[in-house]
Amino acid sequence: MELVADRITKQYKNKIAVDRMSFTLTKGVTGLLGANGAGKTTLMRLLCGILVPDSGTVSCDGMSVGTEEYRDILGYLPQDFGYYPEFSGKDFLLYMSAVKGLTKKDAMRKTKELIELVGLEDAAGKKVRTYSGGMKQRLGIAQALLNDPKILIMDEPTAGLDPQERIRFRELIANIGQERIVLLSTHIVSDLEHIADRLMIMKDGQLLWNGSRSAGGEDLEVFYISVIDEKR
Amino acid sequence: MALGTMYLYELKKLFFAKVNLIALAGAVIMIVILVISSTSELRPVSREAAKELDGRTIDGQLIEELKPTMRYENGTTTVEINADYEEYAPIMDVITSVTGYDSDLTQLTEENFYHLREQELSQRIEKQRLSEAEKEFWYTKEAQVPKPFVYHYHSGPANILKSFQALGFFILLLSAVGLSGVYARETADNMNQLLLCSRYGKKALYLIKYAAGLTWIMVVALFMALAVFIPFSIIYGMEGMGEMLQLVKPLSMLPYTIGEMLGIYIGIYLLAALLFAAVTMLLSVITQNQLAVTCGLLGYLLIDLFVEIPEKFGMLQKIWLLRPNAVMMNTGFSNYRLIHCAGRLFLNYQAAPIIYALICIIALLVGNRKYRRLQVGN
Repeated sequence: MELVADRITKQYKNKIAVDRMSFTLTKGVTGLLGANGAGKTTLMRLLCGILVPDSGTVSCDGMSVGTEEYRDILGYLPQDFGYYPEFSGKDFLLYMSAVKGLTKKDAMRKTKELIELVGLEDAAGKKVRTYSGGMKQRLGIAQALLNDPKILIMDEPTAGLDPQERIRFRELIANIGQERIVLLSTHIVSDLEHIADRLMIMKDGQLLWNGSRSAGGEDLEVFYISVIDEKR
Repeated sequence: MALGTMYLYELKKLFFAKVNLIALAGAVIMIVILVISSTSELRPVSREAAKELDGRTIDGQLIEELKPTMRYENGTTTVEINADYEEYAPIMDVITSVTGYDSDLTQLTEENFYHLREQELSQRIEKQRLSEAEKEFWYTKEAQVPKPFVYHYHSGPANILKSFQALGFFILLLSAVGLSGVYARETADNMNQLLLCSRYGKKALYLIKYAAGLTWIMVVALFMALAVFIPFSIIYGMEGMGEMLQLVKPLSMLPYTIGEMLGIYIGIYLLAALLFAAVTMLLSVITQNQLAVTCGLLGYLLIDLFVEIPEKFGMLQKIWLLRPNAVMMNTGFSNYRLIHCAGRLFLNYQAAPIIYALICIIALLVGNRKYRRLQVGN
């Protein structure tokens, strides 16, 4: 399976958020690095089909990102998202399961499984409005995994997680990435050090680097800064 | 299966949203207060007293019995209904609705009364510049209205009939508050990012939200209707459903019973609720701004209340009188303009439901098109 972006461009008024980017994502974890405002979130939205590029195309094995088939194999965790105050965590996951097309039986099974996976067993019945930032983030991770996505796109997934949760999350992603396309954006370089197979570095809407993680050497932070400086 | 679950959760969002619960409770309380306060403004006629005249023909003899309550001074007739004449109050209402108070009612006879009614109807028809076909339509209907009128106790259904205007305003208000966020709220809460990239997050979710919105407004409309029906039926009873409409609206030329008219009003009220819901949800998709939708609809409510289009703008007035609150208002009885379509003439009560249903379908289609093109952060 391949997710192909072909010369995609997105411009907001005077700013080019994504500038003629082309790349192919394959099985494994790809880390997307870039400072705030580099265009990571816009790129991810384009890959999820919730934002249409001004030019260029995104497709997966010939499937357009605008199709129901594509959405059926996609999992997405946005940087920040709201919640329904009248829903409990479990309700939220059951609702999202339905929107993702899961049968009632599968929805119940996956919801239970994921609640355990993200450690929200005690809070599952509580209203989401009572959740801390970290709990909401874990709920977000759970919803992204509900449909066993073949393509998983996560925007700053470790934001709000405590160090222990972060380690658990990295292990989870490393496992998931073995069989799926995972794209994970962050501006915290250390998040990617042990789990990324490939790296993409963005600045001002442009792709500065796209290659194997191993090419970045031991210290990823030094590599990231050198790539950014080189382009300056 | 998943679609059914989605529908249930969409209903949960609407029925358990705090603002919706508060708005509904407030509206029910207000309408009950309005119902109760309206009864205190009326001349109190006990059911027992009213029943003394039950079945009496409004003829010369009955008019004569009323005359001791009348005095004609300085070009105006004053009527004083004291305890001895309590039961005559509803008859007096029927008579004065036709004659007004400017003529000398102490000289009124049966012949006079029905002639005055005919005269008033002809004047209105001329003033509204009806076509020959329209005139013929109405005179055929009028010929079917039995005369002289026969009085029967009808306070319960009559009061319910008069309260539909208030119900129309409340249901618009509730739609504006409760449904303005159906599609807009998720943009404000950043939930659209999750929904729009999910399998059923586009077409199916749009339709399910629409269905849930219509379900919510139907339940709310029934609640509001019950908040009117129950107190009125307790206070006045429901006798009189089979009596002639002219006992409530003496200048109507429709040969219907009060019960039939009530049925028509209930149908139009429920369709109007669907119409308001459909338009609210369409605006919610288009603007993606809950506050803008609510404010826009409240603005329309004010226009609806205060703007009347003069008769000289015939076509415009015709269209304006098809709005739900006009159809459920007295104008439905005093405006005789008809809708011409495919060589036939239709009453507002016949044309309005078809137009409302069409608008609901158009809103559904336009909204669907807009929702499917929705983007995040554009």
